Formats: sequence, C-alpha cells, structure tokens
Amino acid sequence: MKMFPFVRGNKGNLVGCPVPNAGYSMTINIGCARRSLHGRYFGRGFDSHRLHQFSKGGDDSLTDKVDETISKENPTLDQIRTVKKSMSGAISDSVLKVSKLAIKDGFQVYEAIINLVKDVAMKSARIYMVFKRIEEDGNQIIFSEPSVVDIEKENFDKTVKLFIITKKSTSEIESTISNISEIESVSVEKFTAEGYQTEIPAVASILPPNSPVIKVLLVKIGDQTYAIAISNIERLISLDSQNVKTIEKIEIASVEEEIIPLLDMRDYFGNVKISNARQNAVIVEHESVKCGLVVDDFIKKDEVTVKTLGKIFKNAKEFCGGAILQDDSIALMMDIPYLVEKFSQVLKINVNIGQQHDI
Amino acid sequence: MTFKITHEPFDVLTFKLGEKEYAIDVGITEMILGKCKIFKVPNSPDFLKGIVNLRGEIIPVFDLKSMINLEDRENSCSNVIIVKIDADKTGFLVDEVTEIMSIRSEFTTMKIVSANYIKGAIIKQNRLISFLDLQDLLVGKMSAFELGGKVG
Repeated sequence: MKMFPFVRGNKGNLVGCPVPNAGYSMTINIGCARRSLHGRYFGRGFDSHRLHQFSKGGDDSLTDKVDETISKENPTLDQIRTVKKSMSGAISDSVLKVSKLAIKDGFQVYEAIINLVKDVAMKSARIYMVFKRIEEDGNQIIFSEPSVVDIEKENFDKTVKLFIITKKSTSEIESTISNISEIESVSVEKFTAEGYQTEIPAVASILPPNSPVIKVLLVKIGDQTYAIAISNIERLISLDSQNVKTIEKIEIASVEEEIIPLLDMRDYFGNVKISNARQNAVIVEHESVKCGLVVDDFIKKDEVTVKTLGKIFKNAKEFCGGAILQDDSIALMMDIPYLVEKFSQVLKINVNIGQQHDI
Repeated sequence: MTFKITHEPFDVLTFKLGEKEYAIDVGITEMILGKCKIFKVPNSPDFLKGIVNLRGEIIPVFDLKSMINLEDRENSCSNVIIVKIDADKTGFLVDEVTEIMSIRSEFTTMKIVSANYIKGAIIKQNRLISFLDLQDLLVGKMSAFELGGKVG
C-alpha cells in the first residue's frame, strides 16, 4: 500500500501535511520544532500521545469512573489502567489550550466531520487531499480522529474528524472540503473549547492511598533506583556492545534470533550515560510489543507498596507511582504500558519518515 | 506596587533563603523536616526538587530559591517546610527555619505585579521579611511550566 506523506507531531499524531508553501520539511526529525502557518501554536511540545480519540461532554461520567476506581479498597494498577483506557475519549489538555489561545487571538476553531462516499478507492489519498487543500488555503489542522497513522493505513470506515484553526467562516471551510471529489458530506461546527473533557491524568496521580503490594524488579539508572513490575518483564539480558546496532537513531539488539529495539533509560531520564562495554537490558512486553529498557544495573526482586505521586505529577506518565522500599527510600515505578506504547510510536514515525524519501 | 497597612494580628513562620528572610502563614504549615533524602523525578521542572517519603506518604518537594528566581542558588538548604495546599501536602526547601512570629501592626500588604506571590512585608526590629503566598507561587509556576512544556 502506498503511504502518503502526512507529517506528525513528535509523539505520533497528526499535525498537518507537508505543504511546500507552509514551511514544512519532508525530512522532519523527531522532536524538532516546526514552523507553522500561524507561528506559535505548533512547537515541538505538542502532546499527542492520547489524542487518538475524543468525545464531547461526559465530564461527570469521567470523574465518576475515576472516583469509582480509586474508592475500591485495593484496585490493581491494571484495573486503574483499564479505566483510563475506557476514558480515552478525553480530549488532550494541549489541544484545549491551543484552541483557547487561538480563539483568544481572534482565530476560529472548527470541528469538521467529513464523510467519504461508500466504498471509495484510496481513502487515505482522499483524506490527504483534504489536508492539503485545507492547509494550502491558509488554515491549520491541529488534530484528527482517527490518527494520521490510522488514516495512512486506511484503518477507518469513511468518517474523519478534524480540528481546524482558521480565520475563515464555516461555509468557506465547508466549501473548500466539499469541492474535493468522493466526499459525500461535510459538517463544520464552531468549537468553543467549553464542555470538553481534559486529558486523562497519569496513573501515578490517581492511585488510591491503599495501593496494592506488587512484585517488582529494582534497577539502577544513574544514581537512583527504579522499579519495574515483574508482570511486565519478559527476561533480563546483558548485552555486549558489539551486538547492539543503530538503525535510524534507534538502537536494536539481537536476542535469540529476535530483533528488539532498545530504549536507553539513562538518556531518557537525562542521566549521564555511563560508558561501559556491558549493557543491561530489561526486556518488557505490552500487548505483544517488546522492547528493551537499558539500565545501569539490576538490583534485586522485591515486593513493594506503590503509592500515588499526587496531582503535581499528573504529567509524569512514565511513572505509575512510587514504591516505598524497606529502607524507607523511594523507587519510581515505571509505567511499562505507557513507555512501550510511546516508544512504538517513535519507531513508527522513524519508519515512516524513512519511507517518505522514496515517494 | 500598592501598599496597605493592616492591624489584624496573625502568626507567621519565618525562614531564610540566602541572606533574605521570608514568612508564610503558620496556619498552612504542617511540619518542618530536617535534612532528608530527596528523590529526583526525571523530566520534571528545575524548581521541582523531587519527592520525599513522609511516613509512607510521597510528598513533592519544591526548591523555593529556584521558584522565586533567587540568584543565590548555593545548595545550603537544610529544612523542608511541609504545608497543606488544597488538601495536598507539599514540601518547600529552605535554607533555615528561623521562628514563629506574632504579627500585629508590623505588616504591610503589597501588590507587586512582577511578583504577585509576595503579599506583603513585615518590618520588625530592623528586619525586612517578605510575606509569601505559596499557593499562588505554586499555581503560577506549574501553569507556566505546563503551558511552556506542552505547547511551547
């Protein structure tokens, strides 16, 4: 299947398509800042990890679900995670903030729902044309449902929602989109940023006070101790640096005929990388996706109580709490599903950027 | 900047950051910790020093010097003041806790546009003590960080 060159934000969601006049680069690097049509809105920090779905309203049900979960005496991390997943309809805090800023600065934010005709061939190409036409016309798309990854793979029925920042009227936007062939219907409504759910907080910030005892592996990264739930660990390996290769800035390791991408937690957590020939990696797995977390050392297995990190750390999504150890020290508990999901998004972006050179 | 002299008596906890003296409302103070091990949380803002284990509860600790942009950043902090903000316990790292002081006519309210977390000044026995609103300071710093970090 031919891929169309959508450009994503640094964490994998949409944020436009490459339009020569709009200053986008076809060989955009992960995490690099992008110049946008309207300047300030689309810097590198666009948090899109949980932008795949969104829905209007439902604030009460969202709050109720969190309350219901944390009021259970001993919910497990997985139970909390399940509730979070079911709440994935929440719109990102960042999209709300960007929308509010845009509205404050005199722009309009529209939510456009586009239906393609039934059984249209090359749905992805059709939506690509929509993106291109909208942005060529001086408007900016900040969010899509489904994500651009799913649009590229044609993982959608026939409906796509877009959030557009513009100075044009709804009818002008409607007309821009409906002039493209194979579009069955278009509805463009003003988005007021009111009544929308905000982003789901990190697990660590909503853990109940009476949290469960969890079996963990304690590892050393830099001068701190971290905990990884044993249930997420597939195996522990020590790697010779000769067996670690780098492809498209991603380190990979070959382990028993398996190629496993490595995420160096020493870099990720901003520690000084210790230059040693031997590397330790914890191979973790989530929903059949494996990756190796490179750490300085394995310490020991332990049983720990995981405590909430509190509201202050609502954006620290890499952690699902703090483990209180026997010597009263704290080991931050890594949120493996989040890390694996985020890392796999980075891998997808790298692969797709590589493919863009061939188009 | 505007000033207003008040005569309502109240108690404050005073502490030092470098050579300067500051005060907070004693009513929000939960406890004062001596030197304790602070665990860093990666990728958090500079002014968020880390977390401490307070009898099995994890409490965030902020570096007050960094929050109010004091030039003297020498790492001589020896006390953590634990306060309750919006029902959450929060720690603030300071150089030295000095005393609890009863204030009557020595307090002057102030509004400083560039530092809206300073709510007033106490002048007592040749000492000038700035009165801080930690909640305002915390909310302002966290909002700026979240906005800058995400939408930047």
